[in-house]
Amino acid sequence: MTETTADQIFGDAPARPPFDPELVPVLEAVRQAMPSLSAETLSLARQQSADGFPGMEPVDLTVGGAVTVEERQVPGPEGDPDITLLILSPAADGPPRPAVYHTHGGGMVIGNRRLGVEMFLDQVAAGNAVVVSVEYRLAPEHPDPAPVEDCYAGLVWTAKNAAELGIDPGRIMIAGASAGGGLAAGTALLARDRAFPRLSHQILICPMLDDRFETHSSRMLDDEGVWDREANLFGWTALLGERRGGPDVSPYAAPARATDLTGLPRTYIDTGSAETFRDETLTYARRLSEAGVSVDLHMWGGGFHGFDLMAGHAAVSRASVATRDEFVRRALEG
Amino acid sequence: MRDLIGKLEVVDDDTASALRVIDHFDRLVDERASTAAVVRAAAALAGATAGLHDAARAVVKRFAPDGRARTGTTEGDWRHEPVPGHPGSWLWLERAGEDGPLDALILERAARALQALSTGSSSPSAGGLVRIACDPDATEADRRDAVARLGLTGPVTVVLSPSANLRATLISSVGALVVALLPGAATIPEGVRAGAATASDPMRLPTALEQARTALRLAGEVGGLAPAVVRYEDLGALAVIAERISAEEAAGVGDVRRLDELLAGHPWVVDTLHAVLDQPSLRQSAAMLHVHHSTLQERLTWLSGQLGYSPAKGRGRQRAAVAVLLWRVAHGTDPETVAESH
Repeated sequence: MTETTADQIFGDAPARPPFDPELVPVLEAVRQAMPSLSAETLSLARQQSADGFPGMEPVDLTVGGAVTVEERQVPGPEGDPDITLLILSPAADGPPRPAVYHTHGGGMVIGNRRLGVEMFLDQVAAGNAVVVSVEYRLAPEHPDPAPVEDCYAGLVWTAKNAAELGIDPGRIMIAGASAGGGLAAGTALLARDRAFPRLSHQILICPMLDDRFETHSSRMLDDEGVWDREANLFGWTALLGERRGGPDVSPYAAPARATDLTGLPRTYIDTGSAETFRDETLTYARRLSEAGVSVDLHMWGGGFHGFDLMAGHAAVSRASVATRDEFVRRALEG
Repeated sequence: MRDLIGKLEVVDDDTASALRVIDHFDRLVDERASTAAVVRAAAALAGATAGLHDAARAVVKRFAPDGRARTGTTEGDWRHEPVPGHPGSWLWLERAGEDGPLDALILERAARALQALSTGSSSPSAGGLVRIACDPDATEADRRDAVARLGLTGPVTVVLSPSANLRATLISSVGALVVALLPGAATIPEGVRAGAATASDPMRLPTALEQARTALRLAGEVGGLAPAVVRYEDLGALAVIAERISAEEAAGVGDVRRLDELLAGHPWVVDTLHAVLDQPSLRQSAAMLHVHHSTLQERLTWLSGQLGYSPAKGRGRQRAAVAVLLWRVAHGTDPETVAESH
């Protein structure tokens, strides 16, 4: 098969902001530990994300017994297989709680329902929330619309079964990072257009929103940083095949293509200034605001993609995590 | 692509972990990161709260491994790592119980990073300068600049080792190996497997690095009979063999294959040959091996039968010497070459 590389499509990479000095050593370690995602490295990356990455300790999802961990098989989209939901609830009894419906990251092609849920674990352990994380089918074996429709089906089941799960059905928010941020935004568009369920917030963390590679930032990382244009092209092509960049891509797959952003939930959206998704994040935030949605937008100078979880000790990471955690805390407070 | 990386904390004392520590602080210096960033990195790498007492500015900075600032001064009696060139300034790790595997290295590299960052110039780290000075692809101007900044004027000895225990002021990494530069007539550190070569002029460091690599291929294991530290200058004509013959080629030589076959059932074979070739008399060879004279005689008789030549005398002795040398070439491959061959 003929390989179309980002180089051939886009030519020289335009300027990018410098990476934050404190992040640079970690960025180099990350790049050594994980090969850039491509057809050749996909199976290794899937294996790593299933087994845990080198040096990463498995997270105790029960938080020493404060959290009940449950998995449920629930109906998938009409005519498709069932999907698995990971459900994390406070072990202590209490009134119905708000829910965080979580769509994991991994470029649309790797990862599973456990990836990234620890971000909300403290809130569950404190009795403030129930987390539901969906195991959606992955591209390229399952191209669009399988991933986003799985996410939506899991959300519908969660909302319909809120009472049994101890969830307040009026207070469900959706959250995801990277490809999970794109899927969260796409699922929120589906929920709006299908008029169920109503979401209170969308938390879009360095989200993957745009398959077109027309922005400056989508072209500026050429074999540097994390999730460069080559990896991004691989992810989008896995999801959309030959439709990528063309006229037949739905806004649920690539939310940047949505022409109408009215009626979407209260939004938190963030990005690093030195990452591929920067411009699509900034544009989505501006367009949501123009559509009358209340938006909190944060761009962190010098941040590479996923900097605040990969280099959590750095000052800029602590600022980013503290800001987001505080937003989530207020959102759960209602 | 989030959540895809583990903690920074080093949990092993292997060379890869040591190089990760060294590289981390070198990059912080290269990027002109803040003093606080260096202390946070020490905490994150060690997995313990790290502190800096800066007498000149009268401040104490403490950070937890997750980067959280910790207030108050510490009560514990922690070992002080002085910051070179900054009297009254020191770093520490608040480690309850046993030291972490690389605590000493982390503190040392953090202290040196603080020293380098306080110069106010935007020069690369010492580690970066060492790399430039030894890099055959660096321009002559860059190498001259790096050599000058490192303060190297006369002869310099390059020491190359797969061991993280190689300690020196001027230290860096080349691939998976640790490289140290020792100015003047410095003694080569013991207790590590290493190759060394001396550059008469620091501008010739890249050549010396390659020579040290050759010497390393012939170095024995620490604690073994063969010297663990080999100087290129001592090899003379033997260096030609190590330079021209690859590990694979050496392993394929009939006499070397025979040694490997015999070793499988008789682990003393190479050591015995080494002692016989190294000592002027069989009595001294036996003493070196800590075996009785008669035991050595029995081994030699057996070896002559198995090898088809007598390793103790005449042409047989020469043949055995070359066979053992090639056996070292076959087995003394440095980790970098191993990685490349895969």
